[in-house]
Amino acid sequence: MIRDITLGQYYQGTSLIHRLDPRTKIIATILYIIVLFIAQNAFGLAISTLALIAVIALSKVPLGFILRGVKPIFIIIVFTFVLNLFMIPGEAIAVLGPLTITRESLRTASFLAGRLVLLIFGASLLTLTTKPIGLTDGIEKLISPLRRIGVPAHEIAMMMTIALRFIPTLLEETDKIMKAQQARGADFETGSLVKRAKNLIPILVPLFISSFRIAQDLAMAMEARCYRGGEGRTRMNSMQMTRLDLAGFAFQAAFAAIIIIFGR
Amino acid sequence: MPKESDIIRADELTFEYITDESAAGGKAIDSVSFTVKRGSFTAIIGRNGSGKSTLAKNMNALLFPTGGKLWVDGYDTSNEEYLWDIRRCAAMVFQNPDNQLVSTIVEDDVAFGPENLGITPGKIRDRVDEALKDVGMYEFRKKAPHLLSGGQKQRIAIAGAMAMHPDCIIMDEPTAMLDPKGRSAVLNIAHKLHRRGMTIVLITHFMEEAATADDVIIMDGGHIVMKGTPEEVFSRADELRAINLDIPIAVRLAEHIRAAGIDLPKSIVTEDELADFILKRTETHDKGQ
Repeated sequence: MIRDITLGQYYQGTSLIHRLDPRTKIIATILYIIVLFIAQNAFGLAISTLALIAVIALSKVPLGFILRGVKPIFIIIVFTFVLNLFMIPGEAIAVLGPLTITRESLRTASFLAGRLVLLIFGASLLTLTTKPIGLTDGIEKLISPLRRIGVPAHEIAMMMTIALRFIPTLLEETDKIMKAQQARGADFETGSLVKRAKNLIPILVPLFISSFRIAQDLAMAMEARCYRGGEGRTRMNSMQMTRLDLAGFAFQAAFAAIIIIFGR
Repeated sequence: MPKESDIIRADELTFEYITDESAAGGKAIDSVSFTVKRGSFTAIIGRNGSGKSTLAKNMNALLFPTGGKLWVDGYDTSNEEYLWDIRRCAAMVFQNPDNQLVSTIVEDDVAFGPENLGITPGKIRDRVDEALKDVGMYEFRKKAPHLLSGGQKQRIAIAGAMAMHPDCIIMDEPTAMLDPKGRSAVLNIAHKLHRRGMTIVLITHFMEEAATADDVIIMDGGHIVMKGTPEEVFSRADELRAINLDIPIAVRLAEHIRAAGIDLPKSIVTEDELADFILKRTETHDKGQ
């Protein structure tokens, strides 16, 4: 069961969006999020939605796949929507007992919910179309200019790569420890929430210890393979911007311009 | 610098783990001297705690001698200046297949060593492809390591070592955590690389693995208790038993046959050799009748 988990939520593909440089996609996602908050009117949101639909269509990632990934977050969106719906004073349009819905609150709540939905779809499209390793490499390259002010760009990226690499290993370790505890009569499935949480302690302690042991082993293996930080290190796959990325940036610029001019 | 004929040379090498400032830990390695010939296949055997893993880590300059000297390819391992030369020259494969792979993609992991050496991207690609083909894992190059079996992961680790173009590969119990199939795959690769001229140092506690080596070093309690060819070492079976080491099955069987009054040469240490001998003997026996 545990061997089947996917790292991140990458959807294998060779579409135009998949082939974009990770850096282009990271910049595009950040830009998209900013633009979503610049857009103030219905036209702005409509254009943002259209742009996203176009990109999803280009990426060839099935809609169901995206929806499955963002499902858990919808509760938060519904919650924000409801909260905003009843909290903003103004011209009342409906009264439900002590709660009043106003014209202003309806507008704010729908806009906010709409923005959040687009934001989550946009961000998850990034992880769906970019391999985790591409993401970390992209982030490393993008923040490397900040090295001059002391940001450890290479170290951050290396930490993310190792974290991704060891998620399955630690899950396997957890599985092993749980089975060992269950074999000795531990019960993780029944009892109150507090009791079940307490039962997790005998799992967490050995897991913690074994992750230290793994870290030690890995550090030694990395040293043995001549790892000495980012200085003087080369990469097998050096990222290269292509004409495709140029088109991507042009698309982003046009989109941002339209929103800034007409969408406010 | 002319290449020495001994790739690894230890002279009175001593290593002591210092666990506490007041209480000095026992000596894990106690003044051992030996050499590993360039191009040889050397097996280092010992029980748990015999110091064999500590010795391996010294050969890779992961640990530094606390006494005596150790030279790898002519570099003195206690001189930090040569640290990276030593680690490139004597690549290492560890016991746990999970805890030595760094990347989420097989080929990126193999590229890790050459990337650290600062090799140009195109050349890294060539080395990675070559190393993956050498260990027969080329078709798995895009896979995630956690989806592979233990033996396959260990083969990736060997490819990672090979991609650094070392002069010598030190394997620290590479088969200890593998199933029989993974074990034989890893050993076959070790022998294949050896046949192509690579120096292999195999640290193990499986006697059968040592029987196929050129040279065997037996360690116990931080000392070298025996060294020589497998024939020399395994002919002293009683001494091996005295320090609680297993005897290869072929050697044990040969002892029984010898006890039954059949003259069997002492040089037989592997199952194949024993089978050959029996086959030849039955043939001559048939002819004689």
